[in-house]
Amino acid sequence: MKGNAKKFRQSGVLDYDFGKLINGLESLGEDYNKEIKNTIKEVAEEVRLELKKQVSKGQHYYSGQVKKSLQNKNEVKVENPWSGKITAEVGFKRSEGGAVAYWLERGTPRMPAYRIISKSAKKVDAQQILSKQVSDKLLKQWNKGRK
Amino acid sequence: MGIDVKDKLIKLIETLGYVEGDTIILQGTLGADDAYPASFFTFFNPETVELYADNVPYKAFWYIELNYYSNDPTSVNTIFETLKPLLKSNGFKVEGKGFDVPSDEPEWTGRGINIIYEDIY
Repeated sequence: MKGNAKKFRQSGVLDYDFGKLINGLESLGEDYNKEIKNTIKEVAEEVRLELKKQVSKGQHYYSGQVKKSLQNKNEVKVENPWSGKITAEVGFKRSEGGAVAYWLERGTPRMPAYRIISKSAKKVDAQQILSKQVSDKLLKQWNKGRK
Repeated sequence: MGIDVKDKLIKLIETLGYVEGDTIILQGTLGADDAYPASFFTFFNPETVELYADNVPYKAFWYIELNYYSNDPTSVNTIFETLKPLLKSNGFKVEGKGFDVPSDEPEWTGRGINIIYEDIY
């Protein structure tokens, strides 16, 4: 229920809380923030490429302005070092014409919703990929520590 | 299996004096030449998730986007204050306080909410 509810976020920013996994890694005695940040960046890039693909096709493509407003840099930042929350911002810049992406996501009475943001998020499933990659790293380190 | 939640929602909104197919429509279905009614609702069900136990579905979560458009800005800002208690008392969960939604007509503004209905079979 909680996971599904996240699909309704309207920000156009995909952010996931990996506090538990990060704390698990840190409890093994090493700082993995840098490695995790790189992993998050890689997944954010996958989301960005999918958004680019979705926005470039279909009946809604007109002037290419929304595509141009897609941000090339996926800034990864540690939001709260105490809880271990790291986020990556992926999406369209409103001031550069990206507001239309919201129209495409939501539709209007006369225009059906094209849902480019939710389609991209669903296709890449960033949460699942990240969970797997970070869990693999945790498991690898755990096994190493047990030898 | 289960109930038609969209139908349940429409019937609730009809109690406020709106009419299905006229002032309660599916998002994106108003024709290019059709005039906007003075005030109206649109809805869209992007996803319905079914949960299973022993390979048998036992409940579904219906996600519905409900929007309200009007040429009266006051009603746009207050409509969901009236509607929210009605939705809640009929089993709908309302997420947050809503958000602005885009309109095709410059004189109309819109406001939307996301609602969830847990349909236990």
